[in-house]
Amino acid sequence: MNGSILFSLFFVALFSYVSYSALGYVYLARMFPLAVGVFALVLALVNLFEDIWRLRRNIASDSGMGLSDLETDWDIAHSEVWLKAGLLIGVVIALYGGIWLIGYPLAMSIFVVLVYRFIARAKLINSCIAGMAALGFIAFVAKMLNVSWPEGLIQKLVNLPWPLG
Amino acid sequence: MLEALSQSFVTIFTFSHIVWLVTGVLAGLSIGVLPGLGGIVGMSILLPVIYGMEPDIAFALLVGMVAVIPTSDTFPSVLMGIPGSAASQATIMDGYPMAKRGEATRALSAAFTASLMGGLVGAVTLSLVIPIAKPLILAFGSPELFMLTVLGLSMVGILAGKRPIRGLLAACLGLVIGAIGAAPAAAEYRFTFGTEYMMDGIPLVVVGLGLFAFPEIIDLLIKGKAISEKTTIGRGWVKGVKDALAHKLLVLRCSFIGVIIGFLPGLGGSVVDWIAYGHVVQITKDKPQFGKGDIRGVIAPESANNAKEGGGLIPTLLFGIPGSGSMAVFLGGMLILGIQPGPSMVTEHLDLVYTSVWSLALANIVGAALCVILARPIAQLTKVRYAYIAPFMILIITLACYQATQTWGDLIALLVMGILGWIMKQFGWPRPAALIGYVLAANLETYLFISAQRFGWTWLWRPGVLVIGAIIVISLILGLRKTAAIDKAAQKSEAKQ
Repeated sequence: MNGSILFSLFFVALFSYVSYSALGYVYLARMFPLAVGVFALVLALVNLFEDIWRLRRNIASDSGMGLSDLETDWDIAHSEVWLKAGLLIGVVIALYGGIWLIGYPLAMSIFVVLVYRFIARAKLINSCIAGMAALGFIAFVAKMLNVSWPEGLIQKLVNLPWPLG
Repeated sequence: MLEALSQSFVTIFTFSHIVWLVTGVLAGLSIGVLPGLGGIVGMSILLPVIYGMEPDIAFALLVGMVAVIPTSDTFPSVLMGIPGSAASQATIMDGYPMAKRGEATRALSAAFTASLMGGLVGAVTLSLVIPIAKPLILAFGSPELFMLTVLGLSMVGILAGKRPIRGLLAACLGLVIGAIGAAPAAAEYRFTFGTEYMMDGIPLVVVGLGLFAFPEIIDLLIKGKAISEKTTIGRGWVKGVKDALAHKLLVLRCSFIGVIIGFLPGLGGSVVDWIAYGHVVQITKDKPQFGKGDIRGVIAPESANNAKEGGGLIPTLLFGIPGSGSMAVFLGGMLILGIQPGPSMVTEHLDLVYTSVWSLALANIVGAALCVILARPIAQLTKVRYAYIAPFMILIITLACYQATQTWGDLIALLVMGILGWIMKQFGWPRPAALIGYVLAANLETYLFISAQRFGWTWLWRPGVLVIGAIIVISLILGLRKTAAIDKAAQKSEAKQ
């Protein structure tokens, strides 16, 4: 519930910023974001008070989505969910760091090997095969669909063969 | 006209025509399966191939591809909860819960059958509307298009969830994200934080995959299990076909919704599935299980998104006005072939117009048949532990997102949207509402601005505006009553358990 209040506060802050920033734009650019921002700010405040009211009255947060979105059903503690999510987001940020350093194909292939080996607990040989498959997929898609990928620092310094370069 | 119709029917069954049509269908199916890569990418790949081709053959290739992307993009939506393309976002709502409870095959086969029927309705409508298309399209000015955009936005009321304020706030969040970048009515950049990347706004593929794909990957990795909670995927492909046939009237209605939205240039097809989904929620009378795996929640958006392609070809061919991004590239293809799209198509190239109609119908049949055959083996993926699939999904979504502007901004925006989407999901904030707001933001502002500039306040009294306004009010009242009833029924059933 406290996390929920924090997220509601985020919305109050966001729409306050939107409304304030919109005031600085010329008239024709201002009207749309200002109208949306002010309307949403009022709603965000009402939502925040509702959350606080629920907390004070000890009413359980209505986490059910009904028709609005996919339901989340956890059989582990919420604190553990957040911890694991944080770790996984950290892994993705590390992947981005890898891409920045050694380029997309190489970083992504190594990422696949590591995920297979340490998260899926696959055998090393299978992990390496998965990594090669990832590299092959990237090369195939690049050739067939003419797509490009982010270059890394290493590509700027060393002349690597395609698709690593 | 009948002569052209029959002549083009004979043409599409020539060997070369069928070979190129099937090539286009296979290309479309392959691209549709990859999340984030839609019709624009597919069309762009095929454009270099059509140089020097006979126009009717090139049309078979291009139409074959564009017709089946909304069919195969159902695979990732149903099996992974990841939108295959913008037009299959709503399919997730019920298709994915079905896959989780071991009914992936049934959901897929119902979706493909509905797609086929929708595609055929689109093709038939295209052929019937050709002679009367001009006055119909001209009847929709900016005020009517604005009202249609509001109609799309009103679906938020139906998809707002148990706490409607959060639904509205999520929609406002989408509207604000959609307002990032250059203002349509003034030379001003908004909310760009001084970054060059945000000057053009955040691309749809980044927002869609960020809000839906990223959170699903994180959730499934945390759970550490397979997508399907049951060990079987069901033997439901015949059942799925029967489901779609049993709801043929729903398919028909949603197909017409798809045709109309595709037919109106500038409205954008990204919201067609949500409008169809909102429609099925409104009209269902028995005890539905929407959001928990109701087959009608799969059939409605899938029939609409395929029918949309037939509608989209009308303004593209007859006026040279593309209704969507992929149609804009198709237009480029026509110019490569030396064909000037416009009203002269009906007088000078009627055979080509009807070749498109027949190709569209045939491509839908071939595409749906291939997908039904492939449904069962591909559905086996839901039984594989997700840790084996996740790195490849991350590979595909990052690669797809990077194609939007080919800058680091795409990857960073994907991460930010992904984290936002995950937190929204955890705290019960509806992401579909945010996506609808985002998709409609630009149209809402642009059409309102043009209407006000051109007509002052008098646009509010135009007959089309009043009619669509009445539809919005009725739709909202019916939808809100229906969702309240569904939520009440769900609460009762939870209390009993």
